[in-house]
This record gives sequence, structure tokens and C-alpha cells, in this order.
Amino acid sequence: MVFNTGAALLDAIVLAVVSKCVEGTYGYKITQQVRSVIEISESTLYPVLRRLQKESCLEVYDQECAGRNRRYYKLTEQGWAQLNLYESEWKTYSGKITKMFEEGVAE
Amino acid sequence: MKKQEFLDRLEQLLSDMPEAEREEAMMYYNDYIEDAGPEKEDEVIAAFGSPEEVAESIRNESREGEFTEQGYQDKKADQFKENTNIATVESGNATGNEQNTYTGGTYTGGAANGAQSAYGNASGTQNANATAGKKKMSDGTLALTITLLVLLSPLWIPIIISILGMIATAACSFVGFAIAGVVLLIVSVVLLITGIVTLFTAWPIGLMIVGIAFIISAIGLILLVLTSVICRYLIPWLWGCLKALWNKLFGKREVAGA
Repeated sequence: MVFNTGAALLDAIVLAVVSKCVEGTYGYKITQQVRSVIEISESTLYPVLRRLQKESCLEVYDQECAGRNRRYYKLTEQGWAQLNLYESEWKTYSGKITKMFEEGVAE
Repeated sequence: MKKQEFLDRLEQLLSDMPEAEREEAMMYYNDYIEDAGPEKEDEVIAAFGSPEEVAESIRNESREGEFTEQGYQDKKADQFKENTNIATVESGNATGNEQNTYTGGTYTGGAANGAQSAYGNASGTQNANATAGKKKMSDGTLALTITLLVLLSPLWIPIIISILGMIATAACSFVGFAIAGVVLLIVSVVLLITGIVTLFTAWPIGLMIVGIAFIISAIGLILLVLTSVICRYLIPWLWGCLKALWNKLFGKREVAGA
């Protein structure tokens, strides 16, 4: 990939991935799903998830699974609002770029 | 590196963090390795990088506002440089005015804080400038720190030596405690046997010897209990303190240099 993924775009991708699981999802799964879209290392997401949690975009809860507690992440209302904002911003931004590639810049 | 080894080392490195933060991170990484499954365990741990790197990424987040995309910016440092070069060339061609209205006007006004940094990164220049500025500053601080360290060496070298001396003394006296405890117990057993044997020939002396044996064994037991308490609580605590001190002194310098 020649393009950088900025902090905001990474936040947007993580929020989008988590939002697809209404019941909540867990760190390993989130990482693998984000990795299917952009290149990140296995240890990139903990700080991101932690920060989103502190900004109350994500909430966590523990649930027993196969005899141990696993931590699940879920979008808060604020998280949904943030995701919607990112989505519309992304559509405008990527739309402009795509249009520019296809049609050039209007004089 | 094995799972437990990795987690133990990570916990050690995070020992100076607030407990809640540390537990949160430990839970995440424990979950992560468990979820990867036993056959992928080694692969995942190797992909994490060293525990030091992981600890650094965790630490970076908890310092407010200093978040960067550590994990993959490091790995793809070359590519990142290439990108910023292209971006700089591009911005050189573009008129400065246009760019200002782009970042300043439309996006700061309309969107939340997050969006701005996305565009900052997309345009590349903002990001590159910020990194360059930060680097210059930390280089200066590093030089200053080293100079201070060298100048103050007559002061801190004796301090370190005396601290080491204190630790050595403590360790010796601790070993002494343990040995004394064991020796006293052995002596008390010998005395007890002697005392019982003496009971048959001269019972008052035998009784006295048995009594002394009991007193000595009590002292020995107290010493051994003391040693085990030191072993279990004091030493791990001291070790944690030393680790925290080490991290504070040298951990941060690595960040500044990186």
C-alpha cells in the first residue's frame, strides 16, 4: 500500500469493524478483520482501542467464553455518531479524489 | 518466546503504570494470545515484536495526546518517508494559499477533531513538519541529558555504588538470617537428643538441656519465618521498585531517541 492510513482513518476503520457486530467483538477478531483491509501489526490496535474507549466511543464488557473471561468491545452512542461522521467525511473525500482521477479538476 | 514468558516480561515492563491500566493491557494481550489458539501462539507472539516494543506502544497511548501510528509506521518507515517526499514535492507545486484554505477552512470548521488529522495526514506535509520539529527538539534534549549525565558523574556514580553496596549488604544479611535459622534448628535438634539421653542419667540437667533446645529452636523458626517473609514480599517489591526506577531513567530516553 503506498498510501498512509492516518490516525483518524484507522479510528474510522476500527469503529466500522466493531459496529458490524451488534453483540460486540473482541481484540483478536477486530485485528484480523482490520488486517484484511489495511496492513497493521498485531500490536497496533491495543492503544487505538484503549483510546477510543477513553473517548467513550467504545464500551467494554467481559463475558465468559470457553472457561475464561473474554473482553468484548461495543460501540456507544457517541461511537455511532463518530462513525457516521467519519463515513460521510470519507464519502466526500474519496468521492472528490475518485472524481478528480476520472474527470480531472473542473476549471 | 513462550506465552507466559512474554506476558510476565510485559507485566514487569509495565510495573510502574497505574494498576488499572496495566491490568487492562495484560487482559487484552492474554485474550489475544488465547484467541489466536495454541497453534498460532508462537506466530502471534513473534509478530507482536519484543515485549519492550509492545510496552512502549501501550505507554504511548496513556500519555495524553501523543498518539502516533507506532505499530506500522515503524515497520514501513521507508515507505512512509517516500510518501512524505512525494507529498512535499506536490505541495511545493501547489500554491500555499490553496492548501491553507483546504485544511483550515473547510475541515476544521465542519468536522470533529479527528477529521482534521486525517486530512493533515493525507496532505502529508503537516505530518512531516510535525515529525521533523519533534525530532530536532528531542535531539537537543538528548544532547543536554548526556552532557548533564557526564558533568554530574562525580555525583551519581558514588550514589549508584553506595546503593549497590546497600543492596549487597541487605542480600548478605538476608542470607545470614537464613543460615543462622537452619544452624539454630540443627543445634536445637542435637541438644534435644542430648537432653533426652541425659534425662536418664541426671534428670535435672537433662531437663534444662531440653528446655534450652526448645528455646533455640523457637529462635531458629522465627529467623526462618522472617526469611520466607522477605523472600515472598520484600524482594519482589524491591525488584519492582528497581524496575520502575530503571524504566523511568532509561525507558524514556529510548523514546526520545527513537
